[in-house]
Amino acid sequence: MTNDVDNGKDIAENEPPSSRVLQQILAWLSELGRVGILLYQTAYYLFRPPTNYISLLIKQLGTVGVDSLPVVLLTGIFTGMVLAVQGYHQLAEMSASSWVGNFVAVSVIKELGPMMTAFVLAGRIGASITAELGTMRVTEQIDALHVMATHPVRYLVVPRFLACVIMLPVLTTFSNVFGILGGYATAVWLFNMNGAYFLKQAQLAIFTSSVLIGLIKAVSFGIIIAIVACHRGFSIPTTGGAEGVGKATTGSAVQSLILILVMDFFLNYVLYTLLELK
Amino acid sequence: MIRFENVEKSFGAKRVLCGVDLYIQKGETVVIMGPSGCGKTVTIKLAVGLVKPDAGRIFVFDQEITEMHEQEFDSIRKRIGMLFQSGALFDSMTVGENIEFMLVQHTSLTKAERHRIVAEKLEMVNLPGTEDLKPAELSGGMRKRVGLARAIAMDPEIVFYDEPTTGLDPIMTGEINLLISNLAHNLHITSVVVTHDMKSAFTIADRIIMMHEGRVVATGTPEEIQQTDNPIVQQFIHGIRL
Repeated sequence: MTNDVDNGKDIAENEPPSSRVLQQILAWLSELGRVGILLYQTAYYLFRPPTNYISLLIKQLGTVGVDSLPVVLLTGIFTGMVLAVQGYHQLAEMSASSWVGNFVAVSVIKELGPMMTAFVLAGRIGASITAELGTMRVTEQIDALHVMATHPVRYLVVPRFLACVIMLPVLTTFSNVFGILGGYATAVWLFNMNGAYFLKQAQLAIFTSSVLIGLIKAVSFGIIIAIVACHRGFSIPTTGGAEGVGKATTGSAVQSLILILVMDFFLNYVLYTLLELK
Repeated sequence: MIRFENVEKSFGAKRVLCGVDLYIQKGETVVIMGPSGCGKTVTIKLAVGLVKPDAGRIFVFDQEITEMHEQEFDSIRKRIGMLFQSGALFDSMTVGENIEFMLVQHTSLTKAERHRIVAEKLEMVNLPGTEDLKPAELSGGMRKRVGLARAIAMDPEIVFYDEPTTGLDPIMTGEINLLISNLAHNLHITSVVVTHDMKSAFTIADRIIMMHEGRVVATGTPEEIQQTDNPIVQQFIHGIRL
């Protein structure tokens, strides 16, 4: 047996690099396929929800939305405050410090509001979903669901997916408002700017399309967080134990953050460059 | 009621089942016995559709499940129950919510009717009045009994038990064995018990299927198994290498 293992190790080490790269690519494609299947199953069961669906959804809306609100608001306020400080000094070099309101509003609504909210939720909710589902997997609770004729995607993924998709735009809206308020407070109290002028500048910078694009981003990020978190939780082998749950939880947060950034780039490119929206 | 025809299963390079043939008749209590890693648990996981076979055919309620679609399989799963090795209770729910889970998902019973059934099943496993406890508050033996109450909530025709007495003290082991026997006889349930606990096997089994290295090596009543000349069986029964 030991010889078999050693031989296997030798074979793996003697494989040409191209073969290992190919195997890695195949592994990624396989993972992508599994994520695709999960997304398809989620879409399928969205219209065939479990019996006590409303109570499950309300519970998840509370976890994803209400429980995350304080940290999202805090992140939003400080993002706006930092933007105001940075914007004031950068714009002052061009004698345009009066445009801070415009700068803060555009940055928050178009980019940082959705992005920071998604980052907070990827760390807070995504990791928590992966840990919960992963623990259910290693303690055979997911197998028990299967045996009790209840598909785990239907019972576990659909409410979490919907909660993320609904709550990301809601939390992003709160983050946007508090971001602008944070910028306003900084501009008025630290830089003695005129508050009404700040708000007027902010108002001029905000288009309906900007707000909608921010919300489209929020929905996309919600889908990413839910699907990645659930996929990582389900992917832990039954024999994975606590170590498997820990690794999957970290992996879930990291993978979500990367995918959010990638998705953000593509959405920005398509919406602002190709479609030329404001 | 359950039939395996030349079933094979591998996980990666490891062959777990190498052509298993077995049958289980209605109403009997069959114990699948064998050393750790011989494929016992995989066998029942195949029967409930948690794992798909690589080759061979499996029949449950005389319906071939090998290539059955998930939704179609669910109609079979509503007629079976399973007690997992760890209990596999949903730790976010109370004992009562765990037991009524299938009733909520698959029946239109009222809350009062469901509560009556939960109380009745808890009475059957000697845990009356524990509806509001959380799984974390239960001992190992209590978790198994709640798991058993959940497994029989829908009055299944077959109950699978995966290592029901592992990790329990001798008194609790005896109690679980008695429960399995009583349920089988009183409710006319077909019971499939996976265990490597010899004493339990000889206590509850109508028939024993002995597995070794992914194959069925002996089948018979407890008396026949005890008297067989098969060296693998004798080695397992006496706990020594012959």
